[in-house]
Amino acid sequence: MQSEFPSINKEQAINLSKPIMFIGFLCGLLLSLGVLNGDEAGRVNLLYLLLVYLFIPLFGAILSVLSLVQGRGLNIARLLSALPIWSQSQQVQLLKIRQQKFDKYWFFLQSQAAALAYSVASLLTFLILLLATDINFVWRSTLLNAEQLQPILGAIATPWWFWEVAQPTSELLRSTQDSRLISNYANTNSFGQWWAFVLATQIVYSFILRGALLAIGTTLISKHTKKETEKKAPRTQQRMEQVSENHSYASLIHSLPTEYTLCNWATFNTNILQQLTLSPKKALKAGPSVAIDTHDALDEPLLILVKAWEPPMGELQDFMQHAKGIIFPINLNNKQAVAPEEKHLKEWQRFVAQLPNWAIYVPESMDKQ
Amino acid sequence: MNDNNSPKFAVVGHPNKGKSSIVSTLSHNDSIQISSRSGTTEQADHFTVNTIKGSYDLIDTPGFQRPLRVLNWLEQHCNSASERAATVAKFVADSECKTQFKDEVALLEPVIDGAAILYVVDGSRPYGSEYEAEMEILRWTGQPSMALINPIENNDYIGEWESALAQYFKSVRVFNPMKADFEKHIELLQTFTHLNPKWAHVLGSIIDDLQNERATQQTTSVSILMHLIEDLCQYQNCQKVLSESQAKLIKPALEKQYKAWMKQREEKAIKELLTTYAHYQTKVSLDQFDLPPDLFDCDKWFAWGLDKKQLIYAGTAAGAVSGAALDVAVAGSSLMAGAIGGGLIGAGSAWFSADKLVDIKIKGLPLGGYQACVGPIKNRNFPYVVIGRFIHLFKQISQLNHANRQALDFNASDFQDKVETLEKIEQKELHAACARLIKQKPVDSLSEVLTPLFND
Ligand SMILES: Nc1nc2c(ncn2[C@@H]2O[C@H](COP(=O)(O)OP(=O)(O)OP(=O)(O)O)[C@@H](O)[C@H]2O)c(=O)[nH]1
Ligand SMILES: [Mg+2]
Repeated sequence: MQSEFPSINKEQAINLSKPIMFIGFLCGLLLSLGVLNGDEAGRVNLLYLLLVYLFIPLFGAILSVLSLVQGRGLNIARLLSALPIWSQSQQVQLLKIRQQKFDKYWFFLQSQAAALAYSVASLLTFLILLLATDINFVWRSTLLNAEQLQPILGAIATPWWFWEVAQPTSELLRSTQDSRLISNYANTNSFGQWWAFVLATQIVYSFILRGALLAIGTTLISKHTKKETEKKAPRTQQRMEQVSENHSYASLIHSLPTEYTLCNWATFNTNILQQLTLSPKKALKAGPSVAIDTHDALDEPLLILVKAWEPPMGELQDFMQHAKGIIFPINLNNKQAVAPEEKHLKEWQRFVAQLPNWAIYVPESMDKQ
Repeated sequence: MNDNNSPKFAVVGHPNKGKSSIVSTLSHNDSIQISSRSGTTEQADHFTVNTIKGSYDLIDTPGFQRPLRVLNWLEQHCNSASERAATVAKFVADSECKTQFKDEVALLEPVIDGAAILYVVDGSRPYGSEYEAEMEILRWTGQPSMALINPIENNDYIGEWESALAQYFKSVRVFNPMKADFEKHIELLQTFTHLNPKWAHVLGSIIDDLQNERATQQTTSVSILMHLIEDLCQYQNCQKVLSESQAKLIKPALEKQYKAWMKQREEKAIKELLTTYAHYQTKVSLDQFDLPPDLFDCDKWFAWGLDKKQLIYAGTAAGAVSGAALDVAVAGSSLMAGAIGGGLIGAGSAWFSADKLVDIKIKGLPLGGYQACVGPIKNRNFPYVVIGRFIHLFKQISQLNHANRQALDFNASDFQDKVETLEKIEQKELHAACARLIKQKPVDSLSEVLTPLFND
């Protein structure tokens, strides 16, 4: 049964979704090509680059972390999952993830995978274009000047403080400010110098950041699936011992011997006794509520009257052990003596079968009832 | 053997009067042997009821076999009333008694060990003076005690028993281990708290725990149904083949597999439900239950799911934009119900016809060959059918006492009435959820939507 409906194990859970990664890769590729393409002079706007390589990845990362912490986990991957592009088997997979209650983590993980693919695509595009074409990094702004921009870019570049070339200097900023009205450049050399800063931005804010988040996502899911399997550990099932239902049953007799001694073990009252129309040779007083006397050396068989509905007890068995005779189980219905119920009779038959010198009496007249 | 603060109850009495049944029901343990044969229990068995905040022991014991002779023995070995409990202890320790009166030794041992006494009698049969000896022996132990009248077949002699038992026991209760519901269990446990003041606190916590656990069981049941219905609505059985004609050829086999899977999935859910309520011994096979055995027996669908009138309402409600539109639809649905036969709602036929149930879909694959698929199911009554059957089972299983070993008995469903008792807004949410499920769309609030159906 267990194998029929397998739940998702850890390995499957941390498997990265290829379609989601593909979509991420595609976005990275298209956006990078878009912004790096530049104009006919190969000029690309540094601020657009920052939008694609810094702002989008960083904003996305913050969003996915926030939604993970906050609750539902609304992120790129979850939005993508709502698209009608998924095959039936992928949908089944998604359903299982939801049912096992780690969809929040799973979508988080897949979002990081998508972002990582995005980052790889943009890195590749960037490097290839750096090699194959001349990219001229410029920046344009109506409101900002170089002195205002420098501290912001400087702050962005703090993680790679050790990499001189990749630091934005005021001087570089001044020399690469562009206006579409001016077409003569003093020093075309400096336009290429931004590449290191842009590359470092991509590596730190997109690649490394998302790589780290991916690792966190994987750990979260591993922990969750481990907890799940521990919870699922089968409860100790109590085993039912099988009772053998092989019993022997004493046979029934329907007539009494001519001579017997009556023993009213059940202490039925005279009203009942009269209904039974018995003619014993003599009567013996014995029973569970009467002290048991010596009853040895009885020549005639005993006829013991018992309540059919009460189970036979050890006391009676002790009493019967040293004698011989007949058990007469009687049921009462509205103060009328009637034949025992089937299940009670069976009980008496099992009981008497263990005692060699005994039989069970059910009168013909009663049997019919 | 366990510390003296943990409550212990020895369930004692005549053979075959339902002692094991009471232990089974109270300890939620369906592996305890119960049989119409007397002398089934041959030794004292301890069963611990464990909850988060505490535990108590129930001890199932063999019935009295020689009470009169045991009482004689006790009387012969006791000089004054103050020594009675000690005499019983002596009896339990005596090696000769252990062989001669093994049942009485087994049942008195836990009592001497500190267990309170629960004395069980059958209220459907008359009282007899032969019971006096055993009640007297129990009185000798001096342990706190109460009597439980088990009305095995009927209530005819409860009054007679009550007056007889009152002379020996301060507290006498009627408790039916087969039929008592959860509230009755709790009531009984509450009377246990009065038996020994030292136990009152821990028993109180246990009662709290049991009530919480009961609520958790219901929540678990809701999520079992949730997963079941999502899986059943989602499932598809596909196979790759070479040609279109081959695809048509394998249709019957695919369909058969599909149905088998669906059936097994439903059985699995029922097993989970049984496990949730600690029923481990009940065998699950849908054929064995008195259910319409076939999930795909569409003729029975209106009994298990919604009826036609409700379906029209559901169709409107799921898509309704405003409450007003909904109310018009309700009024309208009773009018429309009469006209269904005439095919008035032609477009809505998917709601009723079963032929489109699991169509085969064949599509060409990009790299050559074909894929034949059966499912997912289309019929919009289907989610209701699954929910209806499950709720029906839930009601049986959540009420099933552990002493009750009979196969579950399922009568006709009243799922439709159940749906009618929901608030309008709840109904609307249910219909909207089912409409999404049948389109394999996730329903975020599914458990909230289903929960009202589980409440009484
Ligand atoms: N219908 C019905 N049957 C009951 C009830 N209580 C017990 N029985 C039946 O009575 C029989 C004896 O039940 P047990 O619980 O085995 O009785 P016991 O006292 O433990 O019996 P021993 O261990 O043999 O002394 C079984 O067939 C039960 O199914 C009840 O409340 N209702
Ligand atoms: Mg028993």
